[in-house]
This record gives sequence, C-alpha cells and structure tokens, in this order.
Amino acid sequence: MLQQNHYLKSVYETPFHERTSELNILNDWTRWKDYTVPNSYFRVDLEYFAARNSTAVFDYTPMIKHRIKGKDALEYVNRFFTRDMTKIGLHRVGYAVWCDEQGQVIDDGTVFHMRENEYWLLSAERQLENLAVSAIGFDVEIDELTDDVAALGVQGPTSASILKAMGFQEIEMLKPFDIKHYSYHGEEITISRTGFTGDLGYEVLMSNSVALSFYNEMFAKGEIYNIKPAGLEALDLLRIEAGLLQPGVDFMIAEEAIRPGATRSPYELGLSWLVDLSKPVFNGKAALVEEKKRGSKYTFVKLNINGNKPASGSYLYNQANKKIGTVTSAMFSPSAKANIAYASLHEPWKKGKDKIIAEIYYQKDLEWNRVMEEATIVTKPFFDPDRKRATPAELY
Amino acid sequence: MSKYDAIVIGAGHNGLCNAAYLAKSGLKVLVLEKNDYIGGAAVSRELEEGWLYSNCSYVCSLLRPEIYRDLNLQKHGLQVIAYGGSVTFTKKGDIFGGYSDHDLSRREIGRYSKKDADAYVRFSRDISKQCRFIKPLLMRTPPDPTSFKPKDLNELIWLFKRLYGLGEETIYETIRFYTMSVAEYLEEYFENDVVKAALSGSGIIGTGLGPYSPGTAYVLLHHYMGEVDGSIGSWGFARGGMGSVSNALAGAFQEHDGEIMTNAEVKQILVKNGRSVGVVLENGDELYAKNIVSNLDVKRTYLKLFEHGDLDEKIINQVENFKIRGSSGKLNIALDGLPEFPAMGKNNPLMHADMHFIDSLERIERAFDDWKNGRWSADPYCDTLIPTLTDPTMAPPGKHYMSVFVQYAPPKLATGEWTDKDREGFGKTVIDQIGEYSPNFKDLIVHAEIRSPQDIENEVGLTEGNIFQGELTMDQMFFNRPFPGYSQFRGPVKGFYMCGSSTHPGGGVMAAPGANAAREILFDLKRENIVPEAENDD
Amino acid sequence: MTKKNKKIAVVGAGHNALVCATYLAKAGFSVDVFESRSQVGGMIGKRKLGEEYSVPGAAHLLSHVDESVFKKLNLKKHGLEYSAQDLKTVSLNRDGNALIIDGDEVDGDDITMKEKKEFKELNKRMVKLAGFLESTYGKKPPRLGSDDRGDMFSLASLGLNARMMGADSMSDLLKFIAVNIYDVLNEFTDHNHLKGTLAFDAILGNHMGPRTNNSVITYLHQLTGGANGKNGSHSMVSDGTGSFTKSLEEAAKKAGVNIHLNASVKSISFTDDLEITGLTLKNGDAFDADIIVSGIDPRSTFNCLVGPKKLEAGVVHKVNNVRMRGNAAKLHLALSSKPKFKGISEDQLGQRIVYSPSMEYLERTFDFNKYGQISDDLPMEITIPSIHDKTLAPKGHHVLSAIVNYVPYHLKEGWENSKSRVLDQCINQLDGLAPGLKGLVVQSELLTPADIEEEYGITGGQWHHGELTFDQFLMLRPVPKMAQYSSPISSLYMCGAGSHPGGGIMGTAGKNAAMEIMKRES
Repeated sequence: MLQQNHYLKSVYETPFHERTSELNILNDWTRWKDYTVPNSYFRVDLEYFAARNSTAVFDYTPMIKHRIKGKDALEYVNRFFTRDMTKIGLHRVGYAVWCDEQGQVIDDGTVFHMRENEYWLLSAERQLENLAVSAIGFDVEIDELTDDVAALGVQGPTSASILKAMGFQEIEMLKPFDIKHYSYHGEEITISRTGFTGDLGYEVLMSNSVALSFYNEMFAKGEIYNIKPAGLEALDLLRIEAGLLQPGVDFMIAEEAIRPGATRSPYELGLSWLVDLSKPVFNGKAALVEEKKRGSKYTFVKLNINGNKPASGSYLYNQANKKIGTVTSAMFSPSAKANIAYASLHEPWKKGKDKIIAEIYYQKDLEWNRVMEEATIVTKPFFDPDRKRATPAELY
Repeated sequence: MSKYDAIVIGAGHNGLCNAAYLAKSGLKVLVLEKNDYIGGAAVSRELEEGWLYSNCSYVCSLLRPEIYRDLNLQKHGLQVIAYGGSVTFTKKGDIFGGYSDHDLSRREIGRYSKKDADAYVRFSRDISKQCRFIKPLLMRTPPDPTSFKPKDLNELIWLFKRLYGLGEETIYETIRFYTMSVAEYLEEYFENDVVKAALSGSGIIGTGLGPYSPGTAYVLLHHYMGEVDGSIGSWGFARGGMGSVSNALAGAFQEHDGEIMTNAEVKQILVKNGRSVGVVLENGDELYAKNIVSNLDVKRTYLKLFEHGDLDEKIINQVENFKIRGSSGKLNIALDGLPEFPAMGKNNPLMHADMHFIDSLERIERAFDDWKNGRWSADPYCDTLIPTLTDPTMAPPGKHYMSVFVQYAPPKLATGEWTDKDREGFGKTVIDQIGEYSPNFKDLIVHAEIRSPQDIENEVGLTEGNIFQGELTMDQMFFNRPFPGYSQFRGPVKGFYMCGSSTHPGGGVMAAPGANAAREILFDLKRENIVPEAENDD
Repeated sequence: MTKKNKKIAVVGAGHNALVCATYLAKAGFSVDVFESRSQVGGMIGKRKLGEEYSVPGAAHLLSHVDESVFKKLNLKKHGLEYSAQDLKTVSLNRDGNALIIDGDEVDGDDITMKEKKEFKELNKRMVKLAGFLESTYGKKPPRLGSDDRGDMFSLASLGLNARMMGADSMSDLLKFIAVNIYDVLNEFTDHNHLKGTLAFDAILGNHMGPRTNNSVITYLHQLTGGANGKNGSHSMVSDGTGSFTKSLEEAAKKAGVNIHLNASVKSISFTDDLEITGLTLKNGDAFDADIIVSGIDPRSTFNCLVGPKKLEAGVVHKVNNVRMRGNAAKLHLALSSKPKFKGISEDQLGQRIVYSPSMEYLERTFDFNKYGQISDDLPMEITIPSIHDKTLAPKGHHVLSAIVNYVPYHLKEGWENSKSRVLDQCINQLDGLAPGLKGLVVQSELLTPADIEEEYGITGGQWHHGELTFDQFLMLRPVPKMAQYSSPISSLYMCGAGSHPGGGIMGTAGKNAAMEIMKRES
C-alpha cells in the first residue's frame, strides 16, 4: 500500500538500480512507466552487438505483470485473448493480443502458463480494469504484481552458458517459450526462454529481495562470456530486426485512441495467426468475424527499402504518387546491413500490383534532404538465426 | 443621427470581445458599463488594501486560444499561467490528489482502487473524444434545425457528417454522455466513492443540478476542455487576477479606437418601427446606434431593458421560462499567511491546486438537496484555491489570497431574501468546513468578502447570480440557447443582438459567445468575417 | 428451412412474450412458450390474497395499450372484458380536497377557470409531443452510424416526422425531451395539487423525482397509446386483470402456441458459431429450438440464460450497466367493507385514486429513496377493483390494490426486518386518508421491489425492465446495438419491456420483436 506522501517521488528506481546506475556511465536514463531505466549504458552499438554476439542484460522490471489465478483461469484467458489458449500448455509461454468489442487491438503481451490454473500476463500497459471487467462470471482472481516482481532479459548467444554457470540445471534443455521454476536463495525464480530480441535468450522473474544478488552473481559468472548491460535504445533496434511490434509505436493502443480510424485489428497488424475464429466466444470475436467477411482496411508489412537512409515517419506512395501508408518503425539493420521498416498500408495500395515508394527526409550537416526510395515487402523477420530455435541451446 | 455603428451594453469579457471584433472590422463602437470599473464577472478588485481579489470568476480555462492570439491579448498584458491538479480531503483525514503527473495521478487513484486507476485511462479517452467533437462547435453559429435556409441546412449536414464520422459506438456514447448524470456516468468506470466524488465536482459547478441529475455528465467537458497554451486539460490563472482578461480585451478594443463609458447604466433599449435604434441611460441621456448588442443575460435584457410592448408575447414567455438558477456563492479571503493543511503532507504540489472538502457523492447530492429546499448547503462543495501561491503579486509579500467558490447557495432562501445575518451564517458554514482541515486557517483571516447569489446579481448584474447566464442543460444548449429560434445571436427586433453567456456556447470565461455574435453582426452588415474559426485538432 | 419448420422457444409468458409468440405463430412458426410460474401474464396475472380474495398482480390498470395489437390478437373475442373504462383520476390530499381529472378536464380543489384552461393547453401540447414519440414506437429503432439503407431511411423519417410537426412543436420537442416535468409544469400552471398529480404519472415506477431530468419523457410515455384511443386514459379489466391474461392465453393457444407452465428455463444453448440449438429447463428437460425469444429483462437474459462467460466482456459490461432500480412496491388489502376516503364521494371510489399532493412533496419523498430510505408519507396509485367486479371478494367485502412509489429496492437497513413496518406504515397512511380503513383490513400483503424481483424474476424489481431515461430510450434501449430486438447471438431475440418502446402494458415491444423476427428468419 502506498503512503499518502508518495507524491514526493514520482519516478521509482528498480531493484537493480544500485548496480545499473554504476554501470550506466553515460548517466542516460529514460522513464518507463513508473520507473527510470537506462536508455543506454556505455555505447548503443556495442550494447546492441552484445545481444547478437555474447549476452546483453536488460532491466525489464517496469513491464506490467498481471496474475490470473483460479478454477476458471483457462476458460477466462481463452475468452480474453484472441488466440486459442488451450494450446499454451503448462509451463509454456505464448505471445498474444487482445481486443476491444470493435475487434481493435488493445495491447499485446506474453502470457505465461505458470502453474496449473495460473497465468501471468506481461504487457506494456496496465490491464487491470479490462481484466476485471472480463472477469464477471468467472471464478478467477486477478492481481497486478509489477512492483513486487523484478524482471531481467538475458539475451544473446552466450546467455544459456551464463545461466548454466550460475547453477540453473538443464537450462539448455528449455525449448523456446518453455518456463522453468528454480529455487534461488530460498526464493522461487522463474526462467523462460523468451525475449524481445529475436535471438537465443531468457527472461527471469524474481522477487525483489533476491534481485540484486542475482544481478551481481550473473555479472560475476558472465564476465568470461562477455556479459554487458544494455539499454532501451539498443533493445528497440533488436526488436525491429526480430520482427516484433511495439504497442504505442507500431499501433495505437485502442484504449487511448481518440480519433476514429486510429486503431488496428489483429488482421491489420499482420497477426492473423493470433486469431482463432473457430474457438468459442472471445472479446472482439463478433467484430473480427465481420472484418474477415468484409475485408480489412489496413495491411501491416515489413519493408526492405533501397538506400541506407532510415525511413522513420515516412509517407509511402504508389507509382501513381498516391499516399498508400506510413512507416511506423524504421532503422538501418547492423546485422543484415539493410534499410528496414514496418509500415501500415491502406487503399489504394493493391498487393502485388502497386509499388511502394518511401519519402525519406534525413539530415546531413544540419541540412535536410529528401529522397524517394523504392521498397519491397519482406515476409520473414530481418534477423532469424537458427540458434534462436536450437534445443538444447548452444553452450560455450 | 447616430454617432455609433454599434453600442454594446455591458463591459463583461464577452461584451468587450464582441466590441473588439466590431471595432477591428472598422466600426465605430461604444461599450456601456453600469459599474465604475469594467470586466463584469472577470475582474480583479482591491477590496482590502494590498489584496487583489478575482472576486467572481477565478480561473481561466476555456478562454479560446484563437481569440487570445487573434486579438493579441498577450500584447495587452494578459499572461495565463498554467496550474494543475485538484485535491479532495476525506473525512478519514487522508487526501485524494489529482496530480498533474500521469503516473503519480494513477498511483494516487490506486491508493483508493487499483482497478479505478486503470479505468482512468479509458475514462480520459472517452472524455477526450467528446472534447474533440465539441471543440470546433464552440466557435461556430448553431444552425436552426427548424429552418430550411441553405446556411442552416449546410451547417446541419456538416454537423451530421461530423457526428456520423465518429463511428457507431462513439455516436451512442455521445448521446449517453449528453443525457446521463455525472454520478451514473462515473459509475460505469469507477468503483470507489472518493474517486467518483472528486471527479464529479466539475459536473455540478455553477449548475442547479446535483451529481445524480441527468444531464450533468457532459459538464465534465468544462474541466477537460480547459486549455492553456494549447495543452489540453490544464487550467490557468490570469496573472494579476481575472481582471487582466477584461483589461486585455479592452486594450484590444481601444487599439481599434473603441470607446468605453463606465457609470453608464442602460435603462432602456429604444425600438422604432421594429428596429432597435439606441439606448436610454439611467441619467436620461439617449445614445443612438444602428446596432445594439447586449452582453447581459436574456432575462435582464428582455425583461428589464425592453418596453413590454416592443416584444412579442411569445418571446416574453420564452424568456420567462429560460432557466437561470443561482446556485453558487463566493468567498474571497485575505490571509495573513499560508494556512496549513496537515492532511496534505509536506511540500505537496497540490497546495497550488483546487481543494475540495467533500468526499462522497452522497454528500454532494445532499448539498444539492439543501439548495433545492431553499437553504445553502450545510456541507457544501467548495472549490478552493490560493492563487497567490502561483501569482504572488495579488497580495502583500508573505500574505495570501484564497478564493472559495461555493456550491450550493440559493438565490432566495426558504426564509426569504438574504439578510446580513444569513450571509454571515453562510460564510461561517464555509469557513468552518475549511477550518476542519486547516487548524490555523481561521486565525489567519484578515478580511473576507462573502457573496451570496443575490450579491452577485446586485453587483455584476447576473440574474440570480448564475455564473453561466443560464443553466447549461440540453434544453438550453446549442440551437436551444438561449431558446429555440434565437440561437444565432440575433434578437427579435432588427439591429439587436445578444453576445453574452446566455448565447452559444454558454458560460465560462471563454469569450466565444462575444466572438460568435460579432461574426453574425458582420454578416448582417455584409462585412468581411474577421472572427477566427476553431483551430483544427486533428 | 421454411418458417413452419423453424422452432421458436419463447422464454417467459408476460404480456409482451405472449403477444410476440402469437404473432409468430400466426405467421406460421412453431412456437413454444416457457413460463416459470404456474400461470401466464407475468406481472399482470391475478393473484390470490388469502383464501377468499383475488387481486391484480403487480399491474392493476391498463393505460397506454397498443390498440393495434389488441385488435390483431382479437383479445375481445378471446375474453378480454373491461370492468371499467375511461377512469377518472381522483387525486387526494390530506385536507380532503380532491381533484378530479377526466381527459383534459380538471375539477375540484378550488381550481380556477384560468387553471383549467392552462391544463387544457398543457394537455394539448403534451399529447402532440406524445404523438411524435408514439410514431417511433411501432417500429424497430434504427442503428446509428450504420450504412444500412433501412437504418438510414428509418433515421431520416424520424427527422422528417420531427420537422413535420411544425417549427413550434419541434422546438418544444428539442427543448422538453431531456428536461424535467417540474420545470415544464411550472411553466404552465400554479396549481400545486394539479402539478403534483400530473408529475406522479411521470415518476411512477421510475427512479426519479419530478425535478430529475428525463421525467418529461416518462410523462409523455404514459400519454402514448391509450385504451379506446384516448391518450393516457385508464381502464380496469374484469376478473382482476384475469380476463386480460386469459384472453392473451386464449389468443396464443388459438394461434397454435404451446404454453408450458411451471417450466423455468435454466439456460439456452448455442454453438460456438452462435447458432441457437435449444434450451434447458431447471428440471433438466431439454428442448430443441432454432430461435429463442426472451421476454424477460435484458440483465436476466444475458446474466442468467446466456451466462457472462459466453458473451464478449464488452457486452456483459454494457448489459450490467443497464440501470434497473425498482422503487415501486405493491400493496394489497382485503377489506371487510367499503372504505371512506376523505373528500371522495362513494361513486368516485371506483376511479383511479392518486395520492400525490404536490411536486415538492414528491421531490422530498424521492430524496429518501435516493439514499435508500423510506419516507413515512408515500405517493400511491390506489384502485378498488372489487367495486367494478364482485367476483374478487366475498359479498360486501372489497380488495384494494395500490402501487406505492418510492420504496427502494436497496433499503439501507435491509428488507428483512423492515417489511412489516413498511406495510403497517402504508396501512396507517391510508387510514389517515380514509379514516377507519385500518379497522377493515382482513388480509394484507406488500410486495417490495425485492419481492417483485423474487416473484416475477425481474432484476431490481424494476417494473419497466430498465428505467426509462434518455440514455435507455429508442436506439439505446436496452443497450446500443441491441435495440433492434436482436442480440450478439444470431437467433436470440428480446421482446420484453427492456426493449423499445419500454414498459407499460402496451404489447408493442412484443409486436415489434415479432416483426423483426419474421423479417430476419423467413
């Protein structure tokens, strides 16, 4: 329970702050929900490469964590999310989106089937009210645990080796999206083979009390595996390469959208694989059935754009110079050496018929320049190494 | 021979704004004011030496930025300083703070209900949707839905398209929003009573309705539409008190050679052959002009300034049935120092914010019941501010000015007219309520001005002391304001116009009615429109 | 599938459900009605009071009936008999100065010629507005923002209807529609007793006081329709409303409707694709159906029959937000002889007797209700049906049936220990109005809103299956997107008072629903 005088501190420090602030030699912080976390620690590109080459550690504590527990938990999550939740077995994790009554995506997140009749939802935004409204008639108990549970992302090719060195038995046997509970200093600690980087990696959930000792021990054991802390700026590069969307960037969170037409359905975000219209009722189903019948207004695509100028915020045109969409995220991929972007396309764009041309503005020596570059649609993630899937995970 | 193109009766902010636009268009304009100072209800008055009171209106929320910019009010000395937040003191000795910081505010709601804290996101979105819908309408003339004129039909079609453009779900929400009670609307989002009480306050300010009265939900917009320097939701203080708003508008008016005459109360509007031709002052002077504009409320204008025979019986009837209900009083208090509010804690930024001392919907509804029964609320809803924490120039150094807006106080008591003793009792009720939460408050009082609705009527001229010049309910809004057939600022006789808050879009220190009326007057005079439209928010 | 092969199950046998069932059966559908009670008629059904007395159920007067429905079902032929028609309203006050209203005529209680004229004028204007309201009643409300041509047309005709009323009436409509009856009546007249009596019609059964906005809609609502084409006129049905329910039952049976009594529906079943398959009764019996029509209130329909788990959360949220605060109780007394009311002649005893001396009184009484309390002086609508119908009570004896308003569903102190106190209070209050009445009471019964919920299965004991307010009216009734008698489940329809045009013994909702079903299911 918060004290009345909580106003004296508007932004919190995470349980790792003591160490992350030492490591953050740039003193570069950013506000993520209730917390301040490093934007970068020492050099963004090196932090990025740590994730692709060795191991990068991210402080995910501000991620919103919800717990759904009770007899009806499965039935409940199956009604809440658009995908078939019966397929997420015990100790498995699934990526999921959920919709409002209009079939528009409210947010996305990962759902952890933690224990029998217990699911955790990790998401960008708080969903307590949505979850509570959805709970009418179900025997479930819903809590939000964000401030009680610390979270780390341990991502990169050497990440399994580090966790193994810390004594987490058979960590390499975890398949992608597996969960395993361990005991650590008398506290339960949950490790899942998940992440936001498109590479081999793990996410660790632990109680605040062991957070700092875990962090210290990991960095001690990880030194020989070239462990590095990494900030949110590097993470953004990694997730775009990996083909992962960010709510509030790549799509508008339906709960916050004010203007008509600002929101997107899962179909319009290229997430039709997350929608199962054959399962019983779920939030947004009626609207999605209707959309399936009528067709969607928007198409979400990954683009490979000519040239090397990132197309951030670009307008997209077809060959007839008609506006057909906008870029939502863009970067020059260091791993693929490609100019990549996500974009939302609309009419009059026609699949297979229309060209996509990006209007890119960039600055050199303070001068603004404009180029028109053609783009092609890519279906696979820009970065997708085999080690991401290999089980047992590579050990070094 | 008329010396003036237009005479504007009343130097309130809408009258001045209207006059400024007419003068800017090149017309010769005279503004007449009954008091020896200008501003109407937007004034700064030194009633205790060293203290400036914003003794009527006290915050700047809805002043149209388009007008601010267009009339260059900044050059004429207006500076609106943003302030934010609100605080509700609970009976249990805690506070419920509406902090300006998003996360802080959410966590504060979370102290009362975690679910409500999340619900606030959806709530703000829904209110913002309504703000977006309504904002462009503030600076437009409402169409007459019964008319078949192309101008009205086009406007109706525009309106209809805009409504349809919202999408099915939002259309329904909009209808519900405009017809529900604030309490029931909030109940669809929130579970905690303190949260609901704190949010409902803005739905009842200035109206003769309680939180459970249908038609109060949309008044929430007033709170959320307020904007300072373009940032939605924040409110502001006019530096030097609310008189600065009037002074700046007067400055803009005078820049275009406008003339203001104070101590010039109008006794009668002269009508000849169905046309208004001039006015007679209390002192017997007659002044002539081709156009007469009244900034006074409809009742005062039509029932007191017109000869009865000059108006149709039907108009008189409509005017008599127009609802202007005095429901608020005001205390202006000079303080010897800063009062302490122990529940607030140390260094709480909300000392700058609106303070309220009522923590449940039932308490507010009961306060309303008192008003219904002809009593001031025994346990009132007080919107309390200490402007000097933001603008120290309004009191001697180290001293403070407190503005207390009190809901509810009836224009007439069940026992009869307000007496000095009633006024004292009313003041005591308010001061006692604040004193309950601030132990040293009473000892700091140097001077207190206590204003009943009747006092406000007597001094400012607002009928029943109603701050909006007429209830802002559906039946008196938009094309129904002030009443059907007369929502386009033109009066029942040629050359006569209304420009006060009795007209669209209504009360609040917005200046929009004044500007809207100017647009119609210029249209009738076949002059180019110089009144700005609302800026697009999309 | 042809109509004849489509099986329809109707849940509940209230008047709207029976009307709907009969229309559908006449159209060739096979229709079964399931009623949990042992008789049809829902709240109108007659009930026993002790061994020897009969009283009307909850509703005791017919007022704004839909004549077209009565004719189509030929209710007269099937046994509908009026024991009294065109009842006058006799309004009491404590001083024994009764006011008598007969159509647009008013008399008594020192009423002046001027006030009589004012009432005529008021009535004229209100009836005109009610006429507009009524013109929307016989059709399903359009969906807004839809690109469906039918909806567009229906909306356009709504707008056109409003404009065709003429500028003055249209202005009246725009001005009055959301305001309160208190202000409107004050605009017209100064006669407090008259205003109190008229305002009573606006607030009866609704959670509102005369000063609550929206109370003009409710006032207009009760002015719509009317037996014998007379707006707002009241009639009494013989056999304590029994002949009405009987005629509905006969008409239904004649049309081929199977009525199952004592058949309480537990749940309805449908596939994942939302196709109806049937329903299950509480006793375990299952019944196959292609279409289900619910005559019970929207909250019970979705919360109980469908179940929140089988609906999208948004729908559950909306349905649970339908305001259903019952605040009218029903009082039944068996009396050993005719009571004598102060200021009322004996031949006026058979009229509709109202106790609502002024609007201020009503508002004050409502204030108690708002906070979950009960005033000790409650407004009532009193009838003595045995005056017109001797079969209801043994010779010389009488039954009194009264709707007691402002009795909250949620009583702060709880109903358990308060019910007998409130019953006594009601009797004492009546004794004050009719000295000596207390001594005549042989049997007595008070149905609180909580009892009405229990007995008739209506959430909150709300007579109208949902309060009638602007935000629960027309295309917003019961909730947006379901105002077309349809629901998220494709062949589940609603036909009760929870749907447009709302409560009262009208039958219009049942008829409209039947029309919509015929259109969509043929």
